[in-house]
Amino acid sequence: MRILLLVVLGLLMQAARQFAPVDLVGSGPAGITLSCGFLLLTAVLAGSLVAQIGVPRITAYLLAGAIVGPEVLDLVSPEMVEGLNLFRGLAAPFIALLAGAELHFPSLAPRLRGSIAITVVTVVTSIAVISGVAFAARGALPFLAGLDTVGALVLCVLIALPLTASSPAVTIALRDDAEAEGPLIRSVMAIVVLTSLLLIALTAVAVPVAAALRATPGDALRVAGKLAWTLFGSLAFGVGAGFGFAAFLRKWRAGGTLFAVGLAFAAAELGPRIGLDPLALALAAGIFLRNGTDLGPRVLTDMQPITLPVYVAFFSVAGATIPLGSFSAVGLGALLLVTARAVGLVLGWRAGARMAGAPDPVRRLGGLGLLPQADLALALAALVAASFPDTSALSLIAAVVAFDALVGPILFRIALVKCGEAGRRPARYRSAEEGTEGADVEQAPT
Amino acid sequence: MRRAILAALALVVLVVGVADAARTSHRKTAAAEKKKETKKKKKPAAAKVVRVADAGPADDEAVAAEVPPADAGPADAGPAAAAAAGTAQPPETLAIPVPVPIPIERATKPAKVGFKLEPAPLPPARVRRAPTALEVITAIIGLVAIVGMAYLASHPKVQELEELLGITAVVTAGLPFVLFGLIAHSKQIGILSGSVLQYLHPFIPLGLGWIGFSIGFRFDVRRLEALPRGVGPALLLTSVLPFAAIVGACGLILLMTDGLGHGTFLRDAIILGTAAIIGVRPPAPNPEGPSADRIAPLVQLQEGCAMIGLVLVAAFWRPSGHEVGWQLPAFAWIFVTLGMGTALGAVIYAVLNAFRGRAEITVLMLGSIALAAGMASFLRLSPVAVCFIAGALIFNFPGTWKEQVRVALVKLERPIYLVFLVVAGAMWEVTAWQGWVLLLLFVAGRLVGKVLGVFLARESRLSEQLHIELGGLNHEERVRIALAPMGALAIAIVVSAQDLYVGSTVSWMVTTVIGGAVATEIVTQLILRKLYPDAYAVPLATESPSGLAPQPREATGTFARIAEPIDTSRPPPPPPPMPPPRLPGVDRDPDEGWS
Repeated sequence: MRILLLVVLGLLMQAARQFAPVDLVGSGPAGITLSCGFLLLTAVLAGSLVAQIGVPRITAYLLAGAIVGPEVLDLVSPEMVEGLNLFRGLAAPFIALLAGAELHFPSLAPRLRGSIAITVVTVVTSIAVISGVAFAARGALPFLAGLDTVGALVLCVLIALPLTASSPAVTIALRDDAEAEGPLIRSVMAIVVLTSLLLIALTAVAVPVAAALRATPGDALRVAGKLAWTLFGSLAFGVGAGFGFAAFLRKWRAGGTLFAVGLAFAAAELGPRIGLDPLALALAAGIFLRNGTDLGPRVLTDMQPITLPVYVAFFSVAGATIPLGSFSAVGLGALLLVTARAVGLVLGWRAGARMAGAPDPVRRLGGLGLLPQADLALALAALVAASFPDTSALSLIAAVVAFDALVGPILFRIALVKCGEAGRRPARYRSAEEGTEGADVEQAPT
Repeated sequence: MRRAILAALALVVLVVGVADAARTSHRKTAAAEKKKETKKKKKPAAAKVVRVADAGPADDEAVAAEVPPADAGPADAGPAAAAAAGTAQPPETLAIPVPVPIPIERATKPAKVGFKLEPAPLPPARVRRAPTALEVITAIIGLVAIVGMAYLASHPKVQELEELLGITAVVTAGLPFVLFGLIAHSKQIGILSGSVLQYLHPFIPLGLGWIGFSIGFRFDVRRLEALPRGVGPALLLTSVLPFAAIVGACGLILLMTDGLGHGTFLRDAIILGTAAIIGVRPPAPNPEGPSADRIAPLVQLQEGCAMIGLVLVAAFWRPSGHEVGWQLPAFAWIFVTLGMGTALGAVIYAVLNAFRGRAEITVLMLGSIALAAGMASFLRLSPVAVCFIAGALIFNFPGTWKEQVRVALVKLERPIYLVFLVVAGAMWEVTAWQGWVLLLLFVAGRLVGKVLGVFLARESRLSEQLHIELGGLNHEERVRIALAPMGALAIAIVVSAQDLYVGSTVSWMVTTVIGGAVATEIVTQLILRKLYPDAYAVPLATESPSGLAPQPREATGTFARIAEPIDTSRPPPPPPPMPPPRLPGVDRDPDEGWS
């Protein structure tokens, strides 16, 4: 029945597209609304289909967007996707705000040192493996052609930074999708956030160093100042935004959802225009709310009702923008880096977890939780892009991110099922939408 | 009752058809005259005349008969064939024309049923200009101002002022957000710049779709059938008269100011008339407790008529131009609208059945409304009407998920409807004086029409002449109908028109209806307080800002309680006794009604 519904929806969309032969009409408000509705329904239907075979729903959302998007069936035109990017831009900081609000340092305190150890070891190992493989295979990577050894090595390290990044958004979505609860998912969520912050800081340092090695020191200073503003400014603005959010919630009992959406809008639209990173800003706001105030659980409760629509919209639109065509263009190079990334992250996690004394399931399977990637990697790639001689590096990174976005969640879900944490999330944390009238939404533990 | 509805429908179609025929014949006559003039100027080159030595009348002119255009719709006579004017020829010569094939004008245009409009508005440029940092900052300030406004609106002092001015109902319906959008978009303030507005523009079809779907989702056909005798025809009379008054008065003014044009004066008059008929004043609180409201179904009747009006307008006045790929006759567009609404309703029904009782209901409803509204708007049809059909179909078919759908619609209302109002306000042009002049006619025509309709509904002589049962309304019901405010749907109707059409008259209509809503509320409140204080009631705050969201099942009694488990240990209770069948011609108590 759901397959039939998917087919019917596709036919309806195709029929509607026939009405307006000029593709420009698709970028108007009607086209954007139509494509948004079509993507939401298609993604939810596809998600429910694949959930029956154990595949994460967000993978289905991505696949659905990719299949109906401009690269495959073209039911959603490039102009429509461009119009929908606004919603994707709003969704990314919204999910980052949610991820930050989930991170409660006092509860992590007993294992904070261990988490930091795992984070550092994992990041260093991953960067080393990826840059090593990229350097060894530099003959197959066109953007490294003609560079001397030092220059090639520097660029290899730069490309390893965004490729090491994981995705707080995907981790949160996977946790909710699998209804997982336990030490593995808590460890992965904490380390994903710490990794993200560490990588942003490393990028802020590495890019000016690379610029200094390649050009005049003046350029390096300018770039360093810009990236320092991006990093520290985002964190500072994020804390300020969190402060304002807390003040709003204390004054008014309702409206938390609206304020969260407003904050996401401000981060998405204002941030890039004044040189800030929306994800880091929203992440910092969420962390401040959870750890600097007592309003963290209330924020999570207020944001819960619109979380699912945001997930579906974000991942389905992201799927529609996956450059499937670039897979064939970058070919072997992308495959090599995907493998190198997986090996580096898993090995690094295991080494770090052994040092931290993590329990066995966490040590064996936690590395798989770092495999999914999404917007953070692309955002970091945009920061390092200027260091590369041409755009083939960005295409390569995009291909790797796309592959990891599709395959990573499947592997992570397998890990959650294997260690028995899937389906253990208590029912009291679920939304009141699940048909039980008058169900109380109990707050997440502090 | 059914005959009355069919008669009203036939009347509307007749009016539109007559106007179209008149318009078409006027154009044909003008075209024929133009062709004659063109023919006279041109030298006949369509045929060679060969003079042959024979007797008989011949023609010096081109004699090849002009073939009438192949795109004939209703009796397109086309220019008359050029008559061969015989002229006397010398007996020794005979001119026999040698016909040269003349290209036949092929049917490149659709059948001429419907009105051709100015070309559709140009789509936005392929490259959007992204907002600057300053624009984003001002937009954020605007958002903060919206939150502040919402806070102020709940302040007791502000509410006292609203009650004093008699605009509580309009404020509750969200009018301040319209005004905010208007102010925010002004050049002097500039909070909502053009580029920011471009980002928010998709909320227009989404908001219209939500409104249509919500209205459809409370359209209970069974309530209409249960109307007591005498109430239905009376309700119809009180709707047809204001409609006719508005169409007549405003149509005349629009014709005088805007001219015949492409018949848009009639389109705009019908839209205004449709917006005018909607609204019933809520009952005054009963100290003895809530009682059955017999004329509550009137709102459904009015909304149904409004949807019919929207379907007809969107079908008969179609955009043209290279952006539009389908060229169909107007009646075909009616079928497309009905078919689209039905098909989408069936798809949404199937989707909801596939996800019974799951957490995805909200996102499914959001996606369904966006799909239906976007598709309708994409095909230049009315999103309100299409989503209404889909919502009505879903509501009137069985399903255990209805309460969840209702809750989802209520949850979606605030974010969608309020932003919709802000964007609608930003698109409103208040500077055209014609809109304010029309406003006076609109308010007066609406009030007079409703009062006249209520008055005539009391007349037993009219009842005897028309052979229908009138006089079923009591005093309070007549007051509530005559002094009815305008609902949020009226605003949606003109915003829908703004979404479909371009032209100066469209902005006039927006001014007329929005301003008319405020003026109507002020005037009726004054009359109520002076003359009918018993019927006066301060509108109660509800969870629905627009008043359009479906009510909880306790208010309608139509939803099944899905939370209660079915007790299978006991036999089911016997069904209630069926009421006796209605016998024709038997008098019934006019107060016997639906409860």
